[in-house]
Amino acid sequence: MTAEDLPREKIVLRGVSARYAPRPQDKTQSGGVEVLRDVNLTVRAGEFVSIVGPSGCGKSTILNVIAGLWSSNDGALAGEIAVHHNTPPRPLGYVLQKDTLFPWKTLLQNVSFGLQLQGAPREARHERAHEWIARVGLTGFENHFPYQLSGGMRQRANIIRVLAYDPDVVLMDEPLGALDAHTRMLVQQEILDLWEGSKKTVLFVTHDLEEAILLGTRVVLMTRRPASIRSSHAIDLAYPRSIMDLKLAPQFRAIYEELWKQFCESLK
Amino acid sequence: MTRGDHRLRIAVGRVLVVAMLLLGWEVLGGGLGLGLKVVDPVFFSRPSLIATNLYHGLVKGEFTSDFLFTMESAMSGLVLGMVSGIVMGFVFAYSKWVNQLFDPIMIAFNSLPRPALGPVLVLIFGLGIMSKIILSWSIVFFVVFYNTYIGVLSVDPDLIRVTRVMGGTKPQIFVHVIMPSVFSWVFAALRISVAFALVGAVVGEFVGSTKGLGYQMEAARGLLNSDRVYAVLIILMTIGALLTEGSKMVERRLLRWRPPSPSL
Repeated sequence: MTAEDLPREKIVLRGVSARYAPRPQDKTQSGGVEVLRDVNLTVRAGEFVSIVGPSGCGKSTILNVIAGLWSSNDGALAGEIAVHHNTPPRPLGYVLQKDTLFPWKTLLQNVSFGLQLQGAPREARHERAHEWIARVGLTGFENHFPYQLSGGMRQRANIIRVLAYDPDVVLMDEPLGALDAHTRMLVQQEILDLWEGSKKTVLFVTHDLEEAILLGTRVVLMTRRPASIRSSHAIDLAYPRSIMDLKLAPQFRAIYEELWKQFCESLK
Repeated sequence: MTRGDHRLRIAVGRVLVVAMLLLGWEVLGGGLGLGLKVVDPVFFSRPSLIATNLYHGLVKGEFTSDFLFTMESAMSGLVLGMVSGIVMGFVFAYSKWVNQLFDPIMIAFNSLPRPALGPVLVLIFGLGIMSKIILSWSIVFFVVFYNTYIGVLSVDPDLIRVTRVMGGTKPQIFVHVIMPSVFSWVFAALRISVAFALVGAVVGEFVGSTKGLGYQMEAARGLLNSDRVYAVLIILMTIGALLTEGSKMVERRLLRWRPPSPSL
C-alpha cells in the first residue's frame, strides 16, 4: 500500500515542542517547564488513536495544542500543528475528564448547545439532541440539570454533547478517569459503538494501557516529561469489539503483555 | 412517628412559644386586668394595645401613604443598586485600570457604616425621597458589586475553554457562560440585597423625612405613642418577612439548577 492509498491525514504534528512560561511566584523553575519535546504524530481520517503515558507527562498538553487552546501567555510553542478539516470546516470535539456540562442548562440544552452556537434552529437542534440522548439511554432525563444526574450519566452527556454537533475530529482527555470500574466499562463500550457507527477521527488520551488497547486502532506510548512519542503500535483486533469478551481474549492479552513491558520502560 | 406528625408538632410548638411570649408581655405590661405592671406600658406597650392601634391605623389607612413611600425608596434603591452593582462589577473584573485606580475608594466606601451617610445625604438631597433612595442604593450597590466581581473571576475556565473549542465566539461565551455564572452569584445575594434596601430606606427616614414608616415611627416616639411605635415595627417586620420569602422564591426559581443546599 502506498502513501496515496492511506486515508488522508487529519491531524499532523511535526517537531512540536512546548515549554510553560515560569510562574512569577515560583522561583525554583526560572526557565519554565518543558512539557513537549519534538513530538511527531500523524492521525489519519477514521483512526482511533489512544495516547498512553505516565501521568503528568504532557498528554493533555498535546490535546490543548491541537485544540488551539495554547496561548502565548502559557509559554513557548514551536513546530508545525495542522488539523485538516472537512469542508465546510466544523469545530473540533473536545471531551475533558471533568464533566464540563453547564450546570445551569438542562441535559437537553447541554446536548444541543454546540448546534445552538452554530445557529441551528431550536426544533432542529432539539431533535438531534433527543436522538443522541436516546442512543446512550438517557431518555427521560432531558429536563434534568447536571447535578441531578449520576457521574456515569454526566460523562455520557459530556460525550454526546460533543458528538451532537458532528465534529469530524474528536479529542478526548481521560474522559472515563472519574468513573467507577463498572460504569467505565459500559461507557467504553458505548464510545466504541458510537465511533464504529461514525468513523470519526479520535485522539484519546488515557493513563490506562488496557483501555487504550481495547478502544484504539493504534496505541501511542509517550515518554516521561518532557514528552515525546516513544513508540506507535497498530492494534490488530477486529471491530466490532466487545469490551467484555476482549478482556479475556488471548490476542488481547498478548498485545497487552508486549505493550506493558514497553510502558514500564517508559516509567523508569 | 411519621414525618407529618413531627412537622405538626413543631408547628404547634412554635405557635405555643409565640403565644407564651405574647401572653407574658401582656401580663407583665399590666394587661388582662391583673394589674401586674412589671414593665411600664408607656415604654413597652403591650400586645393588646399594639393590636388595637394597628387595627385602627389599618382601617383608617393611616399607614398607606407611608408604606408606599418606604416601599418606593427601598425598591428604587434595590433596582438601582443591582443594575449599577452588576455593571460596575463587570467593569472592575474586565478593566485592570479601573480596578487598580478605584479599588481604594471602593474599599473606603464599603468600610464606611452606611447609615452614617444619612445626615450627609439629607443635607444634600433634602427631606424628600431622593436621600432615602440613595442611602438604600449605597448599601445594595456594594453587595451586588462584590458578588458580580467575584462571580466574573470565579467563572470555571474549563467551561470557557470547552465553549471556545465548540466554536463559541466571545459574545456567545459572554452570554452562555459568563452571564449565567455571574447571575448565580448575584441572585444568591438577592435576599440580603432586599433586606439591605429596606434598612437603607428606613434609616434614611429616621435621619430626616416628612414621610415613610420610619418617619411615622420617629414621630410617634416623639409623642410617646409607644403603641404606634410598635405597630409600625410590626408592619416593618411583616414587610421584611414577605420580601425575604419572596426573594427566596425568586432565588429558588432562578437557581433551580443548583443542588438544594441545607442552608436557610
